[in-house]
Amino acid sequence: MKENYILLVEDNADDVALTLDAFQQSHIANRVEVVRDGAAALERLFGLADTAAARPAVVLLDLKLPKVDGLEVLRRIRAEPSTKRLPVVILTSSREERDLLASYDLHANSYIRKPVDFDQFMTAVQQLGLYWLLLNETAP
Amino acid sequence: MSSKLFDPTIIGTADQALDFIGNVLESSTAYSIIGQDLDGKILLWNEGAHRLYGYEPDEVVGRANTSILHVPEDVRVGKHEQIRADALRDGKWEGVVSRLRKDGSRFTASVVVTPRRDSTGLPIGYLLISKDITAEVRLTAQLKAAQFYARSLIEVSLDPLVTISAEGKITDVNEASVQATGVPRGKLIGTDFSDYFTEPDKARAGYEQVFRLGVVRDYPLELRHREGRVMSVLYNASVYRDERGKIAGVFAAARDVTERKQAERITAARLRLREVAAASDLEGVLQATVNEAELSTGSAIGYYHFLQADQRTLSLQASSTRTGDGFSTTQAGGLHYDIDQVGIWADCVRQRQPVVRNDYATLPSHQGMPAGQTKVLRELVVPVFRGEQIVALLGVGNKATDYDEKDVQAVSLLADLGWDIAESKRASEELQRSERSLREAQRLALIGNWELDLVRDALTWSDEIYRIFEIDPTEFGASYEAFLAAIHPDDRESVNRAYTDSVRDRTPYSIRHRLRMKDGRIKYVQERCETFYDAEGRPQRSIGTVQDVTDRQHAEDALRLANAYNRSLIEASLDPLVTIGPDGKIMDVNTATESATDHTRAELIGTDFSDYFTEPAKARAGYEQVFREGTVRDYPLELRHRDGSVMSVLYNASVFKNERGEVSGVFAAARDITARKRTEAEILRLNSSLEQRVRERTSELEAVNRELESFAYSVSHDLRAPLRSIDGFGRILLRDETAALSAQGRANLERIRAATQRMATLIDDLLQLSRTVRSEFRRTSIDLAAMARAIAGELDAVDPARRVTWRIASALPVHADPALMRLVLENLLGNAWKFTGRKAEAEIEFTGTEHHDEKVFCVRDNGAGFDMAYANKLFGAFQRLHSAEEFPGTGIGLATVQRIVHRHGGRVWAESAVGVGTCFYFTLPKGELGT
Repeated sequence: MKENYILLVEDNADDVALTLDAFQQSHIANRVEVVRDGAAALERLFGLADTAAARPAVVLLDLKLPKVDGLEVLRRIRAEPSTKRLPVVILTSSREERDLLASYDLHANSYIRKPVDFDQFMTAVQQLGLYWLLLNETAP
Repeated sequence: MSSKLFDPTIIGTADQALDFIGNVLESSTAYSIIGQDLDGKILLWNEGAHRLYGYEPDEVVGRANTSILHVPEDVRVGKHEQIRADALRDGKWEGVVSRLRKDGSRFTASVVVTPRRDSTGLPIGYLLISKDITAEVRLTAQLKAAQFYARSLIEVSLDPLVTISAEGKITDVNEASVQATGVPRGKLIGTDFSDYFTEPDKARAGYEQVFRLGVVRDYPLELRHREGRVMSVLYNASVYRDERGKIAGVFAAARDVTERKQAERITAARLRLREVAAASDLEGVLQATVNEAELSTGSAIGYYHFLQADQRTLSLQASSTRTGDGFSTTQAGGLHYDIDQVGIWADCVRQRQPVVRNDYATLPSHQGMPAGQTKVLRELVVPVFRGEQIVALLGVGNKATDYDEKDVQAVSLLADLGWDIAESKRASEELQRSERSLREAQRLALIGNWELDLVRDALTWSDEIYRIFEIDPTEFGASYEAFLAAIHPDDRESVNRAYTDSVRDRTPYSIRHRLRMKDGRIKYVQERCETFYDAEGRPQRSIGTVQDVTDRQHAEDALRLANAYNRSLIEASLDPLVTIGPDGKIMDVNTATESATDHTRAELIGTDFSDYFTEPAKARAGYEQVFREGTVRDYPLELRHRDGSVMSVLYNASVFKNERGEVSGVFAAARDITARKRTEAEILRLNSSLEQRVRERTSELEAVNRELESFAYSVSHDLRAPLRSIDGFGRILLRDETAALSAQGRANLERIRAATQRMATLIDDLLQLSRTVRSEFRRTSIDLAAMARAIAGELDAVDPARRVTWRIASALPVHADPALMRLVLENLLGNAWKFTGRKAEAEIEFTGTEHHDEKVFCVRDNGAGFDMAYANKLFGAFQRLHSAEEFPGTGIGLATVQRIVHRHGGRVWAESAVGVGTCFYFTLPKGELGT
């Protein structure tokens, strides 16, 4: 049975805590699994024999990550047949145009800039969870 | 972690709430949060505090005082107590203080201290929140330094730079502008830009055009110095904008083109003089020369003198038109002076160099100045040298401002030119005179005739002969003896023999000989004679003519002398001269042509003129043009020497005619312009190297801009993240712990959230500032080893508790930019210091070796090291291979190092092994010419 979990790729511990809090506040019960760098994310997605079971419902991906950056992670996800349709949401501090363009060029499903204001951040994460976990139908 | 934090079942009683807050505080890692009682005893110690200060909670909670967090010098002055007192009085203390870790290392922290109160409002202790801001402090200092650097570049620019407001007022200037105007900075700013130019309307139109079009290039203006000097400049100007993108004013950079203008004026003067030379006499040429000298220096008077070969006698040849107005009683060309009579005016002869007197009026001895009545205030006199001899002087006077080196150059050039033109003018006038006398000689035709009847021995003379011989026909009859008696004694024998030989050989003869008059005068006569014979061959009679050719003889003698003189001038000419026949063959050459080609006159004459040039067809086209049009000026050719070297020449050539007025050939004079060509090439080269430098500068600036872009990008990303945490956790506290928090506590949290928004704004401002920063590059000789020792000393001083063994080479001289190389070493040594932080016995080494054409340097440590798999990411800006919790840092240092080393033309790379250590290498090119 495939578990409908969220993979959060985020190196900043505080952002992890805040994101988890936001999910909890919006009563999203799905498990959130956290990896702290790009290499760990790739390991998590492709390291296991059963890649289908390892596949999350959605990947929340930061762009600036230690070791392997977010765009490279996205590139590898799209290059792999088992994950090429996997929903990936970029969740980053950057609002640089080149990051936006690069992310969409690599077929990111969505691009969200983390607001400094926590209330806005909360709203963003809640809507994110609701949309990708409840409303969106993923490819089989 | 989060599920435990926010489990709603925990929040029930007040105790539970307190526990909960405790949990929150304990688990916050980004901030050190410490609770203390009224005396500073530590009651609460969260995970952030553990990470920041290095103490385990067990070591400090209930056991230590917060004074251990202060550096000893602060504790000595009671700073920790003062902070608590201030916090109690004001409800909060916040500021930046030096902090001490457990391991003795220091850092700069931003600290907020707020009092805690019980339910009755009595103070029971303090909450102390702190954060390491060492990196931020360093960043601000770097930005300040960069800004200072940019300003200093503007100040050292040799071009006058200025900014102008929309109202045309000067808003900023650099030192070069102060120098150019002679007006101090404070007096320039706020005044009208246009006031400083000879044509204010044109200056105003210029900046208005910039406001209208955004940019203007090479706008010519004349900048006026306070003391009257004028500098010709070309302006490049553009609008600049404030941080909101609104046009703030015009930034204008002037380039001094005074010298270029001067050179153009001299060239124009040269052309004008050449035209004058064709149309007027010697004095006209010299007067035009003086006029040009006056014009080019802004003088009011001017003279041209020749100096005789004795180097003592001066003769005034011409005065300028303006001088002539006040000088009508004397006349140019007639005045002679002895050099001892003319006082300081002829100093340039005595000193054999140009003399400038800007204080003429105050000098004691100025008698003999040819100005006569004109009062002289300033003067400039230059000599004209031909070989070792001074041949002429050109003097100008009474410029409105002081004469300077540029005036000396201009007047010297014109004086020289005037002499050359005058000299050729004089030579051609002499030639015309001798031709005239030749024509007069040709008109002479006084001929007498005689007949000797040999059978009857009777001699008859015509009247002309009596006149020529000056014999009175009434008192003396014609006889051969009388004829012989009139002949100069030295010529009698040869005349007699000529006649007797002619009779004997039956051939006519012609002989020129002298007559001596009674008063001793000598006459020359041309005698022709023929004898007739009878059928038996006996001589019957001789018939002859006698022509008085005395005048012709004299004229011919004179002409020979004149020709010898002309010839000597032609031979003395430094310019290769040549005459060419209609068939293109060389007819004659002078010595200069022989030495220019290294062929003798005999070799040259009769050969094709065109053979001696790199482009024979062009040479041929040249003399054909002369035959067709009569003259050709400044025809460029390249004369080939026998050894293959080439002389660039300009030909001036014209046809010359025989006595009958028929064109007999081309006379061509070459002027060696090899040196001038070289100068022109040098100017071109300098110009292009200037453009090259501008291109290099532009690309450097572009590189810096790209770096700043990347920097700004990362700042916006990395500095925002902690702010989000502060705001987020504060908000969660407010949301989940409303009941547990006092009103004061809630207010404090709101303040924290407000502060995070302020910080977010500050970051935006810093980014704005960073975009204005530029950087430049200057190499000098420096010793990297000495620099490294200084940096090591600074690192040791920051953390005296650490034990680091430094091994630094004794001397490592390089030619590089000192400020940038210091950044390189600070980063590399600082990294080595940082990553050996957990070693009990840290070792850092800095050495250098030489390989081929580069110097290789190495910074080696025995620190944490990194996985070589990620070595390619090492030098990207904001790339980090360690988490910030392990080793603090921004990730910009190695990007900086790489950029600086590349700018010096070097390379940089690293070798490392996890747990063993790291070695950073960089190279610099050898010698002084690395790019």
